[in-house]
Amino acid sequence: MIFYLVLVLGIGAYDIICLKKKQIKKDVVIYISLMALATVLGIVYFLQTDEKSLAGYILNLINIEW
Amino acid sequence: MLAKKGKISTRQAALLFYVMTLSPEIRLFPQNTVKMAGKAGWLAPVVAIAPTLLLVVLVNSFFKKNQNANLSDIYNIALGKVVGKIVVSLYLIWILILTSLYIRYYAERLLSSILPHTSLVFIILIMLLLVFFAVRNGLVPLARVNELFFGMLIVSAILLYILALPDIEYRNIMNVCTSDAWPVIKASSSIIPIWGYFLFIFFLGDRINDKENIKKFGFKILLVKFIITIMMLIVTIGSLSATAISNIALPFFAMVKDIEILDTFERMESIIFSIWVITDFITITVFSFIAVSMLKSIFKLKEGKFLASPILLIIGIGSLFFFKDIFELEAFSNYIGLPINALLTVIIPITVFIIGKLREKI
Repeated sequence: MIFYLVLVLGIGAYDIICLKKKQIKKDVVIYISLMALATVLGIVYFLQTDEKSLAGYILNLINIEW
Repeated sequence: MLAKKGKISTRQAALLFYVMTLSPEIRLFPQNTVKMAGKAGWLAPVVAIAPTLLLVVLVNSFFKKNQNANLSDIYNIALGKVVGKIVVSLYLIWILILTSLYIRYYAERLLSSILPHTSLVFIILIMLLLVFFAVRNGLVPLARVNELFFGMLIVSAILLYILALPDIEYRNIMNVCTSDAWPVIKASSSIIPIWGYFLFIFFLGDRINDKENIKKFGFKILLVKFIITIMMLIVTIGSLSATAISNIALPFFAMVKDIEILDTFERMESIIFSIWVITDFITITVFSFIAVSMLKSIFKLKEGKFLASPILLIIGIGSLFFFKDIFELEAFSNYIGLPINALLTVIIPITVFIIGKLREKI
């Protein structure tokens, strides 16, 4: 998880510096939102204790056995 | 000239479509068509080609009035801004799930065949890095390298088919009768959603030139795809038989494994592996481009290429988070993936076209 967080922060910081140089505020906001989503997904994945995956839940929900 | 503007030609877009659909074709078609139509499964592309040709005509009609737009813009024009953006967002979510699925398939295949003791995360990370650099460098270099891949893939496909010809037992594919008609029609339902990816390519429409040639190149590439697919099904069903195929995980791969030349040259499956890695790379990269383009359209952004990193991180973590193992992947693609693909590549575009025509926007 630490590797993932370092990766996200590293890439994020570099990209935001580049985007700020171009002075496009809206792009920065969307970029930060998406990076936040990626971070949250990553943290949830690395901390989850449940064995079932999202696809598993969906398949069970519509009663498909595989 | 086109490259200077960062645009590709319609011919290059059609070639991208050809290469990006190869990986799911090899994985899904032999088993799915045989499950539904038995030994007549090789006839399924004959049924599937007609609706796909109509899809090409539909895509062509979308761009008649709006030559410089992409499909997201066309949906916004036809459905209105709010509904259009909601529909494009649904496409975006599906493209992200689909890309995660392809990355996981690629990693699982490498794990189960040539790299059994390697970490899954490492294999996914390598592919994501490659895709990241490809997306950052733009569509033009990818389209150019894809032209090379296309030639290689066609030559290796023809070579494999010729080498597999002596193994074909004609009783495995002959004796098809009229009662097979309905099963063959049903079997085509697993082909149309994959060939429907032709529509997805045009979400990059603003970066594709000479769109007046969509019909010309679309028909040509579909003809090539039709011949190559039907040959793949004939050699696979012919050499393994329908009964064997329904019990094998990757029938085409198993068929290629049996090929040998003069009892000396064996292990032709290495060709299939390289084809698979190449096509997976193209599929994942094109889908990433499409996701970036959709996001750009939804939020009206100026710079798209910076979105590559968050999108690839979401796709990468999604491929681990969404699927547990290969069985879940297969169940998800067959029971959920194919119907949703059919909805997004056939039903929704037809509905959008009808609404657009009624509102006189298309």
